[in-house]
Amino acid sequence: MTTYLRASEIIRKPVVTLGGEDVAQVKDILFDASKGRIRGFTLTGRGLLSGPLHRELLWRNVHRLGPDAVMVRTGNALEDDDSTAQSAVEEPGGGNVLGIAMTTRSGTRLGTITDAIIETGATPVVAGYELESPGHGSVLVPVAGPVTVSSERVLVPDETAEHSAGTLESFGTAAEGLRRRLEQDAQEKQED
Amino acid sequence: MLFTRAQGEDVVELSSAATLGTVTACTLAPSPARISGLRLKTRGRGGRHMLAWKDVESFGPDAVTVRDASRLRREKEIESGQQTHPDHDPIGKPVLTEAGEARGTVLDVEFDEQTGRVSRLLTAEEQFSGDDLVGVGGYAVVVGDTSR
Repeated sequence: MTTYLRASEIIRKPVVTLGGEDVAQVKDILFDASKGRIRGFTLTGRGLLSGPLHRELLWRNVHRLGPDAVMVRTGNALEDDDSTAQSAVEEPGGGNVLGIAMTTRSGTRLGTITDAIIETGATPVVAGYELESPGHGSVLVPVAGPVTVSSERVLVPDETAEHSAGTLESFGTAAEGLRRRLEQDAQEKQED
Repeated sequence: MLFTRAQGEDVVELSSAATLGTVTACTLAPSPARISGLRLKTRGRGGRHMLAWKDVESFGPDAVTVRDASRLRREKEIESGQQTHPDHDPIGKPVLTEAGEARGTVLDVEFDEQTGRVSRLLTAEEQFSGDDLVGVGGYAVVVGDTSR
């Protein structure tokens, strides 16, 4: 079963070992927008007044990302802050996509990104974005095909605009629709 | 037997026939799922104690017997890595699948009083086979992602 989550919902979720211990809490998502991947999470301690943990959870150490917890095998899955994880945040396109514009390749601005939609499961990917769109309010748009990210905008194929959804429940259908459409277009191009 | 039925049973010392305390809770260990220890409320011995399952002589319908009081350990002295640490008490903890999905709260545990093997974990809505138990920790009871 494919489940979609807003990235903002993952924040503050507990990180739980298969032994049932909560070892940390998600502070933020280390996100590689250009590849559409989650690199990992930054963490805070559990509890009301606990400060940031100077440790990170890299994706390869995540057992499963679920709707109620991020599961890891053992507490050893948390890594001390290291240079690889740090540099991920600094990379172009690896930083914050919130507040930047989504624009089609032919130059139509679809809206401002307010959240990312994560497809959960064994290999989670960024399946789309939530946009605040002038005149339409909040819409969920899937991403597929060539996506280019700069610090100012995310550029998506024109077809993206036709496959948006209003709710997370209908997002799967929209994502599947866009995927098929882009496949079809690619086939037609080959046949020409 | 359901563990909630065993709660309140007297723990009796065989050498003296005296009551050492009463059963309040248990701790579980996985693969195979089993009761690793009993948590006791003791009288005049300074608070809570733990009785490892291997030191239970007999688990009867009305009393649990133990050879002598030296088998009891103070709960405070049990280190966190040990199977009988109170963190491994499942009752009242949320069930999380290994896929990270919450599935209710453990209300009861069905176990075999001869062997201590756990056959089922019960929540208000569901039951999970003991075979699916992955771990019990301070935060949650983790089960495999197979049963639904």
